[in-house]
Amino acid sequence: MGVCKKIVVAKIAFTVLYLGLPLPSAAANEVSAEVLNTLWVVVAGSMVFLMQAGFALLESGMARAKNAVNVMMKNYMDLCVGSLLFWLVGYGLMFGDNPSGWLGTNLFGLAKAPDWDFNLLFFQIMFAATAATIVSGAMAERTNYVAYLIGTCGVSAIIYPVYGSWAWNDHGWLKQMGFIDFAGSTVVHSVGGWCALAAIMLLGPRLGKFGANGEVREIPGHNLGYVALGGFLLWFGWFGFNGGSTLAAGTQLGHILLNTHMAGAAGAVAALLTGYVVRQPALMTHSVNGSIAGLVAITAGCASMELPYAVLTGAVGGALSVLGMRMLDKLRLDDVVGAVAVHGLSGAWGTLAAGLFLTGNMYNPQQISVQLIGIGAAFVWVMLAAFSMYWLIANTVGLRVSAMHEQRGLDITEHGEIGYPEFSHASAYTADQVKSLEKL
Amino acid sequence: MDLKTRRRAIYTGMRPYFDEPTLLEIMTLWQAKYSDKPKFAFTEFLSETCKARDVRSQRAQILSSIFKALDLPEKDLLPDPFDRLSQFDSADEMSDTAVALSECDQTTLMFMRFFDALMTRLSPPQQASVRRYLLTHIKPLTLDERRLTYLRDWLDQRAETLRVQFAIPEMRMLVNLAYIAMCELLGPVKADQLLALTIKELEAEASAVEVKLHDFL
Repeated sequence: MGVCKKIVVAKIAFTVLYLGLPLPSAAANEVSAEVLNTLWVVVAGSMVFLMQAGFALLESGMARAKNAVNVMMKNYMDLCVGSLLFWLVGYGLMFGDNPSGWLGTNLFGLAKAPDWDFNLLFFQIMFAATAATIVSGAMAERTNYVAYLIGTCGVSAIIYPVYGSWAWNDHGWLKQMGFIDFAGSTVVHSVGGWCALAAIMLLGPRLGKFGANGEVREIPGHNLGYVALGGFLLWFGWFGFNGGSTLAAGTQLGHILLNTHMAGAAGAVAALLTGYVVRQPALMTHSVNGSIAGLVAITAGCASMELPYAVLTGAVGGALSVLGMRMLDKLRLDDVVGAVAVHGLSGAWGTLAAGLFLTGNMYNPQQISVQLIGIGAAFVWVMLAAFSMYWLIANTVGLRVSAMHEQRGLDITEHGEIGYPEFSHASAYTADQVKSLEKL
Repeated sequence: MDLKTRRRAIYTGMRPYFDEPTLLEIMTLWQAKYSDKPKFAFTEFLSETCKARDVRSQRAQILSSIFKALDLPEKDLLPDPFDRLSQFDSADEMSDTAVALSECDQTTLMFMRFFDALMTRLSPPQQASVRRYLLTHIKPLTLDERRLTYLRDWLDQRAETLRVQFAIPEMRMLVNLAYIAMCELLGPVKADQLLALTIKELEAEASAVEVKLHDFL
């Protein structure tokens, strides 16, 4: 056994013992590749799970205190609802046998399967939950809670898996064309971002976000500490998101994680610099969003790009996040957390960059064309599907809450509780008043 | 053209066709139902008026007379009938469900206090904007014409009080409309602050008369 192999085995053994996981029944000194891969994929999946906490903190921090519980609840429950729906429907549509190239046809509600399939299912459920939860921040502070969860069902069960089947299913038509989206800049992030765009177009802005004379009003979030912590958690989770997408504990992990990390860093720096260029102060929300935009952008090409290009990709993503948010403001579209710019635009850019900077085949027009087709297909499919879905919800259940709900805050009207009962001195509504308020 | 001049013009234009009590009745209807509507709503107003009073054949003439009066210089218009509208209301009040101010419940009085306190936190132009917004958006309130008139008078500061009792859901809707107006005017952050400050300011006073301010929210 070579020295390197001994070190690897020692590390695995330590990890297994440390995590309290049972050793495989095979000889302890013979760690099979499958066990190693399994271990890596489930750990990576668990790291992706932690991104939900990151999203919850980030989005809640950017919302006002009177909607903090609602944002947290949306993040918590879309994970739960999305996981169930993706297991029942989405996974089959995405990864089932796909003779047409458009849709998977089996593996629905997977109950019996080889162990490896469950690893994949676990990992992919986390991805589906990520795509779904991206929407929540954009729609914050004025969305009917039940309507939001119904929308989550549509995203997790149909919108995300259908596109995923084109791009990630071995027989998907985009995959067959050679579309590169390693960990989902488009499949996960742009899909979530475009769903968010469709939703906010239908929802309309929060009360008073845009003045009658076209001015854009800042509605500051209630906890910038949450925003920063959310950013850190998301960044950490991204190592699982991109690293885990190898589905194997290979030697390329370091390169992938380094690309991921550097793109995130470049994104934050570029967002800061772009902020200065457009004469904005060094806002924490921009920096955190910039780093996330960098991470989103590198997701497609993190395994197929050299480090300097990863930095460039992340930097452009970060700049796009700032410019994209300004563009949305000009269009009078109210995206509370900047999800459309950070996930939609940066995801699209990252997918293009994966084609542009493909190691060994840079600037190949054919590859770039395929990437553009993939990006366009995602936009068209998601906008059509999500717009129809949210329109239907708006005209049945009702997508937007009333002005009275907005006045009281969704914590009270949707959940009957206050996020900060002991610190509500600056609010018209105190914890002891909540129960006596007449139900809307 | 401001509300007062419009009212004078309509009164002047219709005067040749109706006796004084009927015209005051008609003006009360206009005040309550049509005063916030654009010019083209005159047709609807006349349709309702003429139908009820069997003067359908003169409808076109009345309409033409109103439009002529609207073009007259202010000095040629008859005096504002508003005070007489109020007298008309007062005279009729006893047979109505409306309650005199002295009989107003504490909740309505406290609501007026609350609303006034909220308004004093705004600059005069901002107050005017909020009041204007309310005047043009109170339609969802299902109030009878008289109560609607009183509400309009109070919001327009032509009357110092509401004069009648309002139900809590109605008052809550008015506060919400004011909140929407403040959001549009000042942004939601400031609107939330103003609401919170007003509640804090009046909490003790409301509690002393056993009114729950949060009923308005």
